[in-house]
Amino acid sequence: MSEVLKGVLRILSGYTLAIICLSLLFILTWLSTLEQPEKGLFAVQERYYSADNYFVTPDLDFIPKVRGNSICPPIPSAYLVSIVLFINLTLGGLIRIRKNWRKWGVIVSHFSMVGLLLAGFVSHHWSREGIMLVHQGDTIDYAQSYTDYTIEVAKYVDGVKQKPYVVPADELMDMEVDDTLDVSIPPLGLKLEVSNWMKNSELKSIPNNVPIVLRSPLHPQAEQNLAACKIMLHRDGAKPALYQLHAQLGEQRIMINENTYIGVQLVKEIWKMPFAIRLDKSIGEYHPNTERPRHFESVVAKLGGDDSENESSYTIKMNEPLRHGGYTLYQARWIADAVRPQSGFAVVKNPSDQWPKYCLYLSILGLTAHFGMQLFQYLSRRNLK
Amino acid sequence: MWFIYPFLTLLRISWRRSCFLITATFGCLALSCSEEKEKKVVIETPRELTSADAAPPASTVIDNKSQAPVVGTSTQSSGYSYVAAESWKSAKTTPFRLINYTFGAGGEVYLSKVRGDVLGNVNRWMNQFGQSAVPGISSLEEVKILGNTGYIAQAEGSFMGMRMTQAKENYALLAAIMKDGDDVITIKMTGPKGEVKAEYDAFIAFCTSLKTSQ
Repeated sequence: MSEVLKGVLRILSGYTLAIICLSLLFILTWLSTLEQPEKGLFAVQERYYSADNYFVTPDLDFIPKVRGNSICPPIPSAYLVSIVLFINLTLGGLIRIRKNWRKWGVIVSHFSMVGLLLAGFVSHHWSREGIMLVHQGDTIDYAQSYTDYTIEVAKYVDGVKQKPYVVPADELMDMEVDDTLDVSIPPLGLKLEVSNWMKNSELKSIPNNVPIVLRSPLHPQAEQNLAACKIMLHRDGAKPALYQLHAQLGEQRIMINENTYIGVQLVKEIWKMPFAIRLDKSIGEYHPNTERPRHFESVVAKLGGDDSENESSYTIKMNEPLRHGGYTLYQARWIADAVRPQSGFAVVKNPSDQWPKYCLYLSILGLTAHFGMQLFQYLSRRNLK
Repeated sequence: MWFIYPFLTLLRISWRRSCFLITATFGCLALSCSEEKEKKVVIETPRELTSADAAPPASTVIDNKSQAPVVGTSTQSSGYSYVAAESWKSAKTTPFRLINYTFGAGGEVYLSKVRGDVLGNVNRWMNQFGQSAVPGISSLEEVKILGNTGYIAQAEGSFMGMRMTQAKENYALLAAIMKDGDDVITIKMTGPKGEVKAEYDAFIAFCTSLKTSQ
């Protein structure tokens, strides 16, 4: 192995890099915690921890500004630091740790920490979160994103909705107001030119049925943002037409003929669940004179799914979720209503959902074995003396 | 990479190693910047129907009225792109009228760049229609033009414009105005009252579709 490669591996697997990474993670956690009350949890998470940002400039009142720009230079984001730490810990475990039977406990604990970082990476890129809002007595089979908007285009024939075509949220949510996205939907013979994307906006009024939309600053709670955009719709054999879409505007209809029309709407991303949930009973209680739930639980029936076509009854409570088919349903909301109370279930599909738990078990096992062996060796040496 | 330096000093890392660390960090940055956003999407597969498709989710819909399609063609002129109504006829542009159309019997709509302030121009128009001055722009309806907030001014009555020798009766004004740096962009529609009223949707569509073309 060449000297250069050895040097590279020595630096990448060294304690120095680990200390730099851990210190940066500490600083990032501290700064993001300070920013959170003013900017909101979601916005701060996006800036400091998202894979979209490799560097972040802290924006805090106590950091002076020159001409509106913070004097604090950019620092690496938690995502970049975590990747470097992952490489560092992996190489450290493979290269630096002495491999013998006395060290196996340490090696297991070390790689359990690598596993924790890997779980975070998988969760960040492949987990999906949404909410199922269901009234008592209703059955629903879909979840809806908290924050991400999509444009859904569906054909209606004799008033019956056909399967909708969905412009991916990933493409839209990255757009800025000056960006344009060309969308082609060959099965419907449509082309959309999406422009004027507003992450948050206000629907001013609808004079003569033409909406006026004003751009608004991002809401500290990302869930409250109301997206808007314009679409120039190109249809085979028809002149292009311009439509305004807004989260509160509902579906816009383009007549094709007497029995057929196209519906276009801007909605939070919807995805079909592998099973349906019927809310049989929704029970809750607020803390006195507050809107903070003190206790809530839901009795639900799970309908369909891969394992069974039969109904199964579950009770979902605080800290007692329903787990099925890789999905976890937590009771997240409860809305009181004397006639039809409503439950909101946070839906999480995370391939690495249980990995941190297993990693911690491994770490406990490794450290217990290591310190147990150390104790045994100590006692053995003392007995020999 | 200022943030590395104190650690390097404290941990007594050699400059050779430091250079490597800094280069690696910059490399990561360069890689992250080189990612190009895909701006074209082709959708072939639809989403499965769900119970959400039986009825729109009540939490996201406050108005189910169908939006009147803004029928028009996308056009470019004088550095702007926009959607102009099919019924409008393109007219010759002038240094003052950067976009110029006519419609109906004597109606015209044109975009200009002028000097001054928003309120001053609005009140000049009001004066042309013999209307009292507007107290402030906050009383005007807002509209989005070129990504900024614009204002809608409306007036009806006897129209006596610049360089006109005789007033036109039963005329109406529908105008949008927006401050754009030192300039003020105005989109002014004048014409017989009934015709201007009928063109309201097309006018708003023109204003909101306006973009500076590349």
